[in-house]
Amino acid sequence: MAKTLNNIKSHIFKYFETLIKCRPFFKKPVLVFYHAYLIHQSKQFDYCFYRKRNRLYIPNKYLLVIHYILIGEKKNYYPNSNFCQITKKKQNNPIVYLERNLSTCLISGDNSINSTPFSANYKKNSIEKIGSKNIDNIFSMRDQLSAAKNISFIENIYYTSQLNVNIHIKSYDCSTTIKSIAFYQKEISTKIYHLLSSDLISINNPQLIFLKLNNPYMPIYLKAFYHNHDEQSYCIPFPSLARNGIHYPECQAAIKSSYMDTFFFLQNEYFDKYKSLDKTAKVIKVRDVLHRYSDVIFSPLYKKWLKESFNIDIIKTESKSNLMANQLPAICAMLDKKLSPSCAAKKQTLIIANEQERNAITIQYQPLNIESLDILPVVIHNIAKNHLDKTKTLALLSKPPTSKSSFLSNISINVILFSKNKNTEKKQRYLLQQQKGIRLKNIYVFKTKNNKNDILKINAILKESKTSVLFIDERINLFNPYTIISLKHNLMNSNVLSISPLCIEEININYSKKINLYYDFYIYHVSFKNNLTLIQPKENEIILMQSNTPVIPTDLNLTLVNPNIWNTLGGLVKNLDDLNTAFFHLALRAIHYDHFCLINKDCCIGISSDRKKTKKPPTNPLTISQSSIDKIKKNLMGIKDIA
Amino acid sequence: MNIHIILPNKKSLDSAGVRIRYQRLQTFLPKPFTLELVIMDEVNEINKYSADFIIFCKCYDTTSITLAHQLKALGKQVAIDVFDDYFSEDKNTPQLAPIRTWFKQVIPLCNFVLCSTRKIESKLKKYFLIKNIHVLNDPYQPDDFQLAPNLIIQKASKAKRTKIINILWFGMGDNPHFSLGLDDLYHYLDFLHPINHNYKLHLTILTNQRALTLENLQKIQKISISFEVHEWSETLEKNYLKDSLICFLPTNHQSFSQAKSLNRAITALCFGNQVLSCGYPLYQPLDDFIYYHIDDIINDLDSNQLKLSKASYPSLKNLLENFASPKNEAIKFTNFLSNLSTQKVLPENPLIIIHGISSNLVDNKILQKSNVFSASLPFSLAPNYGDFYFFYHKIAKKWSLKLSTKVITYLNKIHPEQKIKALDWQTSIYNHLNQLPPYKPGNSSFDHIALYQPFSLCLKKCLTTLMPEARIITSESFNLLPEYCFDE
Repeated sequence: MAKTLNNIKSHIFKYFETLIKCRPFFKKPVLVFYHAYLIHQSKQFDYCFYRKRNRLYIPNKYLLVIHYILIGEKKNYYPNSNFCQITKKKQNNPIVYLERNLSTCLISGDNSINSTPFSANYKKNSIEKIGSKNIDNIFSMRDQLSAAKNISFIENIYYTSQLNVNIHIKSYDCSTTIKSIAFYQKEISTKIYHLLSSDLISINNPQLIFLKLNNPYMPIYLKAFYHNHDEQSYCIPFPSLARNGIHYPECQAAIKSSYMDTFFFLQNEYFDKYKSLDKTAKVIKVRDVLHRYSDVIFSPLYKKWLKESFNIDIIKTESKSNLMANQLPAICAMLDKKLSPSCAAKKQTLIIANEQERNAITIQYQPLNIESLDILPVVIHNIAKNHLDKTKTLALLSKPPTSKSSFLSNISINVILFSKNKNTEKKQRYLLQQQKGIRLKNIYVFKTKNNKNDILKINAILKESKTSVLFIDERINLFNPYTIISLKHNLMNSNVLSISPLCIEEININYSKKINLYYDFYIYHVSFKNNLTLIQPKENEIILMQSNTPVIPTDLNLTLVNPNIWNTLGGLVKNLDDLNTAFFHLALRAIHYDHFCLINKDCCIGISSDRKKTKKPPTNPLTISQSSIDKIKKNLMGIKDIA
Repeated sequence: MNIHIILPNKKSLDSAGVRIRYQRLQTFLPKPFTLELVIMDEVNEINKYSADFIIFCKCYDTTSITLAHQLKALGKQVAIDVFDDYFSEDKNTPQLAPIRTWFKQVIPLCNFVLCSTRKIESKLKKYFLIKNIHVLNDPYQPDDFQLAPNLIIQKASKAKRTKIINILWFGMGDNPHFSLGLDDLYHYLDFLHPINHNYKLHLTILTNQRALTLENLQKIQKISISFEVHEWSETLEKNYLKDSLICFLPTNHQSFSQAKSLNRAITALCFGNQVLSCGYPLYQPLDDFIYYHIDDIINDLDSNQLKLSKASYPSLKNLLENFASPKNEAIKFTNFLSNLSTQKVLPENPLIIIHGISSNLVDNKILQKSNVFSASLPFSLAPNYGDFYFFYHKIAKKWSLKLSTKVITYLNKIHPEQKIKALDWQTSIYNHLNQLPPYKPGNSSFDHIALYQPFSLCLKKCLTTLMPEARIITSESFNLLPEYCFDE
């Protein structure tokens, strides 16, 4: 294997060298980025998106398959005008596929099926051409039932553009039995199967089939012709679950052993559900302003698929939207009766399957609105890098989140303030008084959070308190006068234990100020594979988070607590080290009983930076007992556990 | 009658807005009107300034407000042009708060406002309550328009002969604040997939280099028809406009994009292109010449019934006379200017510039004038500098406002009957100062944001008490300030 790997490496380098030689304008360092994924030795797949300069790095035990390569002269961050996309097919080496032809335009690519190198060769020789007229009835319902069961001869499937799908056939294994394979997509209105491609299977070459779909969401039908004159029909009902497809994150969230296994597993699972699906008309309400009409949700092909497959219409609404910008309902959402978008959904749970380097990416189970905390599993796509721009985001975070009219009423709260000295206490009191719409009832001052005896006192305060209690640390800078009232507004829900704003910290580096996100919480992740895992959030996940996201807080920096739920859960446990740890455990207990700690992304607070490094998580997440995890999971999972 | 368009810098001379609007208009202005493009740095010796109408174009800084204040006092007609909607989506673009604050400060000084669409006009009326607005439609380039009839025929026959349909997308690919350009192209790709056809579609993308980021290139990769990308230039644009059959002009529904002018469609039509519009129906005024489905274009091409044809060309010409004729626009514009009520010469009131966390005032000459004063907040770059600044007494734990000798001299000159010392002025603002926070703000930005509003409100109250006749403006370009910090 290592030898092959080196071969590939040297091959690619050689390829680049010649490329550079023949292009005299590459005087500066060359910028290479390519779209590739790696094949593991044991045929397990890992998707990668590489952007590398000068050198390619291929980890051991992996083989490289390259979708396309872009090469250009490096000038600042942007490729300059000499930027050139190079594409080339590689015939000699069976493993490296470099698609598309070398082009001479500044940047150009041709994803149209006409120019694809492999299938073009075979199409000419194809003996068995099947016209669309003959196959009107070739797919019986029975075929379709067994359709999605592992189509064993497909090695890999992925989208290369919006409409183009590449399918790798295990030609070594199946060329002895299969003569040729034909691919179709069905036009629902006319019931005609359009032939997409028909290819001979040959042992001499790795079979790579290039399909141009009529609709990237509609099922793909296959018909295999065997040497013994048998014919077998198959169906891929939801191709968009494939890599680089719009629903791929859903597949990723479910990943079990390998990508292909999961892909076919979901095809079967979803197809079974689909058959029993009640196809009465449903609607997804979308606020047009939110989506700017340019979202995928408004694309004609997507709408057509939704209508014809699920009988779902997208309707525009002025009030509450089922979806936020850049969100699509996950396929499982549309298949699950409980979670079908038209009716009230059940339970909240958060699934994030996030590919860091890609820009179209994640699946989340997110609250539909604050009042009901209903959940619709969604796929989030097209989160561009510039959306992650810190300054913009943070400016965005600092606005008063709700309308001013709601600040007129004076809501009273109790405050538990942690402060070591009088000066910080004075500052905190001043800023608390600046908060709009809030009346401060009692302010209890504690010196530290490490005193075990304080746990009892705090439990007692919460027992007495008839109004919400605010925990505030001395490091917190409550710079926005609308923070507390907007938190309070979100605490109204009956099953919310606590709510905190997002924390940001400022760091001085070389006389310039830099603002970072400060994480005092975990996101919890319920995947099909793992039961419950706590994840230290990363910046892009923060951006993807909705305004209210269930989390496990690790610190009582600024937290507004509902004392009723606090007391129902039995309050803090005495024998723990400090308040933070005690609260962490309370939060874990909360999700067990269907209560939630939320983080509100729409408001934020500043925290003075800690010179010490960020401390380790207070406890190991694994200390949660398995039975407890099962129960939590059962509570959380709105959809059938398919693991 | 001289019109001066004041531009922020030399670079803006080449910007699309200036090129399309003012330069095309220049030759068509009826006498005695003349139009000149002036760069702000070149504006010296205000008293001898010759122009009658001064229009500030994209000068989002304090210098322009100061100039407007001074020019208005001299009896000049002062205006700004608003060709982009940077203000109505305030919830989505908090980082544009400094620009919106600039609008709020400069608009009271303007005799009129110039804009390019009815949409912006109505928004300006709604958000800033401006009454005197002139809509200057983007004029077409008359030379280009002559080419159209021949091009129309050539293009259709070429497409039929070669079975290749060339589609062009051109324009700015990105914007630092809004998602548009290549994003729109990517989102509306579906509209480039005809159902039944036997043509090969080829898309050319002409855009600015800045927009060709890795992210955007990835998006471009999703295009399912053959395509090429070139860096935009005026000549390339012209060449491709002449070559292509269809111009693809997707528009999304955000306010910023809705308020755009028709100029891209007009340019496309002038070069004999069929216009394919999708998303927000921005080009509805030109409806007779706009396609909304690519299938329609292909059908019409096959049946020789394209919307823009040699037969329909005269009606296009008539239509454009209403929307985009440089001659008509010039006449309408000068009529509007002639009907403005005359601006009287006024005594120039003092001007106080409050320097915020990041002040964008560059020109020091302005501050040297006898009736221009500067004031600092405790978090300004120079907190203990200027004519007014705050001072914290550590022992008394109280704030006071320091006044410079320039201020004292001015106040004594205005109120000669009362010979008052600095200390006595202090007592008149004592109440305001008492409301300030009881501690000195630290160095962190959070401290600054937290205390920005209390300090700036207090400063404004003090300044109005001391100099009720003065105009107070804030010079602030710190983009992490939430909008409510500017509220009064």
